[in-house]
Amino acid sequence: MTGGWRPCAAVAGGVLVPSAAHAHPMPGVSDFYAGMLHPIVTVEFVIPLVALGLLAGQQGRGTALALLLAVPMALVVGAAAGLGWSAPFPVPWLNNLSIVMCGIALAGAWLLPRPVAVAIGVLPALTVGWLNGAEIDESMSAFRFVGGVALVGFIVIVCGVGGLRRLEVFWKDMAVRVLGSWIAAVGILVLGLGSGPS
Amino acid sequence: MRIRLHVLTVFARLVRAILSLALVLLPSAADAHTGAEVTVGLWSGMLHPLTGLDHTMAMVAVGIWGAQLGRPAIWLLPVTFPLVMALGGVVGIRQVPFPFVEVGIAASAVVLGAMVLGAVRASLPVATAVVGFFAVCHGYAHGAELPHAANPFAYGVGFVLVTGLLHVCGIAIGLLKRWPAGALAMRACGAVIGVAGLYLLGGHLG
Repeated sequence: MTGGWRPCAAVAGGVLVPSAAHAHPMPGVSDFYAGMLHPIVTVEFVIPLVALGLLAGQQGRGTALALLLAVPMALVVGAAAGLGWSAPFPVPWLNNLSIVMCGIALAGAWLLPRPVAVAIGVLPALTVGWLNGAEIDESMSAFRFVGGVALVGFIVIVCGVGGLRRLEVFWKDMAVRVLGSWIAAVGILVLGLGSGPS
Repeated sequence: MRIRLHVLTVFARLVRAILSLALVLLPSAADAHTGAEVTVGLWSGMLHPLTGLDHTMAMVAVGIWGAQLGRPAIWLLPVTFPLVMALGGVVGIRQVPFPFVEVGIAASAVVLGAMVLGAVRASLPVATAVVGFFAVCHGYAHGAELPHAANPFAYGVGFVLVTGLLHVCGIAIGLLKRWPAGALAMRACGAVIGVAGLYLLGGHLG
């Protein structure tokens, strides 16, 4: 097996373990690792996280660093809010909307002003955090679970920045724009299929 | 030789990335919340663009034409198509009337096949408008046929992923233009797509 295929094998090994597919109390998996797995085995969460990683990689170094700090923090804030309060607004709908926004930003490949890029990045992180926090039950350690969620957000941003910087410029730009359009298209379809923010 | 190796490396990386994503989204792994709904949604979304020959051919033709036109059309057309297609899909889901949509889909294979056959150097706005118009037709047809997906997210992911991969196939074919025989083969693909589109169009009009 060549080195390049090892990440695929690692991902396969990680996600195909049946116990890992049960999001909440995971027998044999501590709450910290459950918090790490939960966002990446749930399609509604993995797409915005991938979009955030690509967005950070697409922007300049300063913005990437800002997102590296802002996204985990927003995940924690969102999870704490989701843990404590029932949502007064439609969080899943906002999550879908944030996916469309991230996808369009990626497809456009604009170098955004730092506050704008951070704002676009913080919204999905807040909604993903909120939705994860809302699913923590009494049998779990919220502190550990949220820590795992925040760490996976950090890792995704690091992978996005590191991965994109290794690619040759033209193909990187093209691949990110195309992936961005896919992400935005998924968000638009889901908004259409899932109806409005009622 | 160096360029060829580089292109192969990029495609190998893309395949690895897609495989990783597919593994993450595999039904058994996606049991976390909705179980069978995710499975059904993902697979129905993935199969939907492949169920009609007209859809498949047109999407591959978009990728080939983009590669023929070169930068920036090589990325702009595959970016435009899914975005506009998704908007058309929402119109279809809402059951807004759109007459002659099947004719439009068959015509897309004819027109895009002709563009590839003739290696037509359309301006960027014209190429984008042509692709965007046909994307609405394709999106509408898909959306109208599936107003209630088992899991909207999984359906959307599968649908867009396969649509995008068909564009990638087209771009891969389009990279053959570097060689004279490859350019000829690419135009032959356009002829096949156009003729098949004419056959389907005849079926709709006749």
